[in-house]
Amino acid sequence: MAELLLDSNIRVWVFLPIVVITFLIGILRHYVTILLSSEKKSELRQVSDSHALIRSRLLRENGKYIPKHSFLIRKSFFNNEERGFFKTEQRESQAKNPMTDPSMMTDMMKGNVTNVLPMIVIGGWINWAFSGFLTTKVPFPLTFRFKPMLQRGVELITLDASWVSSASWYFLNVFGLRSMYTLILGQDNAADQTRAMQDQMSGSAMMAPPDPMKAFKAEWEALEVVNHDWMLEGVEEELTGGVMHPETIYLRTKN
Amino acid sequence: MAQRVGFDEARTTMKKYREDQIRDSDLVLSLWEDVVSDKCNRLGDELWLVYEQVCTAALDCRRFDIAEDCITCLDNKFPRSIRVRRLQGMYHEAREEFSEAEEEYKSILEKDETNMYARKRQVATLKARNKIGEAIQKLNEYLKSFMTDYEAWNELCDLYLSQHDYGNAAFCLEELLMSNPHNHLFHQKYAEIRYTQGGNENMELARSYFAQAVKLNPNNLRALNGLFLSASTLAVTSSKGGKDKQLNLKYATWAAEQIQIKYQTQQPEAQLKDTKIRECLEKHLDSLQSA
Repeated sequence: MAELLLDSNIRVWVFLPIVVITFLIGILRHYVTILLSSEKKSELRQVSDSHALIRSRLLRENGKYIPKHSFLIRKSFFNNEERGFFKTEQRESQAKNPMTDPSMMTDMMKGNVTNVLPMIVIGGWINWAFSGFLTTKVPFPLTFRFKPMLQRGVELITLDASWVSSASWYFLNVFGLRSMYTLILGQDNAADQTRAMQDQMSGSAMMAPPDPMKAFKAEWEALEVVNHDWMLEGVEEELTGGVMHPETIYLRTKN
Repeated sequence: MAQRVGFDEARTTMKKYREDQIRDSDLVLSLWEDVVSDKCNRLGDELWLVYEQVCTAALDCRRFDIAEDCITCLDNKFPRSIRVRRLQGMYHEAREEFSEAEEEYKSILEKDETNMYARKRQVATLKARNKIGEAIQKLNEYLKSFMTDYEAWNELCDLYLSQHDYGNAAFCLEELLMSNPHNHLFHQKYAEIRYTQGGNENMELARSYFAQAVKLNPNNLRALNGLFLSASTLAVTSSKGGKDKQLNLKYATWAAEQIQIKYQTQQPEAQLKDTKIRECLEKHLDSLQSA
């Protein structure tokens, strides 16, 4: 197969501009995000609710390490029919409709403006302006399956898979410039696209539950069924008896 | 020593201290003065964090000149920042200008009522002025909202202990036990409180928790001693010839043996002869067995 040669103009007018554009857009986005970011304020009540839920969960898990009397005091604090924390605390539902809450609307807007919009606009523009070029070649052979990844926009079946098309080069840059940003902008920069995606995946785990009443009810149920099984029962015997036989461990946790 | 430390090393040490929240103020201060402060423009954005760290360290060591410099720099960079306000409050506290400090914390809380630091500092100011009762009240209020702040539970426990309020102190320690059931020191302290409270039931609890502490850390000599004392007390008070007496005697003997072994393995021969505690243990044990 004849060796393919690229016009050096492609390097000057396609390859390098894409790198520079993506890089500058990243930096621009970093500063725009900083400019637009609003500090998230949490309400005292929300914070204390999540603290109460965590404490109740710990009581369920580790309540076996404290004496029975103390366990029951705490259980009653949370679950008492008349005076229990989960019974008496009334909260209105926090799950507001995002359309009616202007601050949430603006937050969503800002997120879109800084993350999604540039992605679409710049990606579309690059696709339109630089479409159909082969820009570079990776210096190792690749299998056929890499073709849709590396040669977006150039659908040639016979072309060797190690050539990279301009659209794909753009995407490689978007995701590959991360370490450059850390170098220039510091550790926690907002230019990083991949981090934003991870946030979407794992976020809101530590956040206060959207509906405290529901969370309280679930926690109340979970705590209600927990029985106290003192872990320290017979610990002196265990200690002074020397080696503990495995079958007794099994029996003890079973009971 | 600090003279020979390079800039990068000093920087990483300070970073480590900051992240692990180690409070070695002397070292931090000497690193800052001898190494970092001349080249602080090399720190970049880290500088502001370092300023904050150095400021607290300086307050610890009563170096008000350094602390003032830090606060001025930070204030110029971040006007109206709550974190800087807190440092300012701590500065007042260190100079024992408590009413100014309180004002500062109050104004922080008006802006952001979920600020845990300001609330805790308020408790600290009360404690510094020896108003233990009010501090306890304030801390209780705080814990109603922030129930899982275990540092605060620990502090409240110590405050109660200083007031000899053992029941409430035990309650706080139970919270700590639940937060980290594998920490032998919590078990030991809980047992000590129960032991101090006295009474048959509490003594049995103390014995169990001392035993648990020994189980978690066999080298905890204090817990071993506690186990010995609580078990022997129980052996004396329980009815003669009963099963309980036998068991408690067994535990006491075992603990005494363990303590003996610890001394024998740790100390050289010559010192061992002077160790009175071993004789005491033996005498105590003999009197138990004959009783």
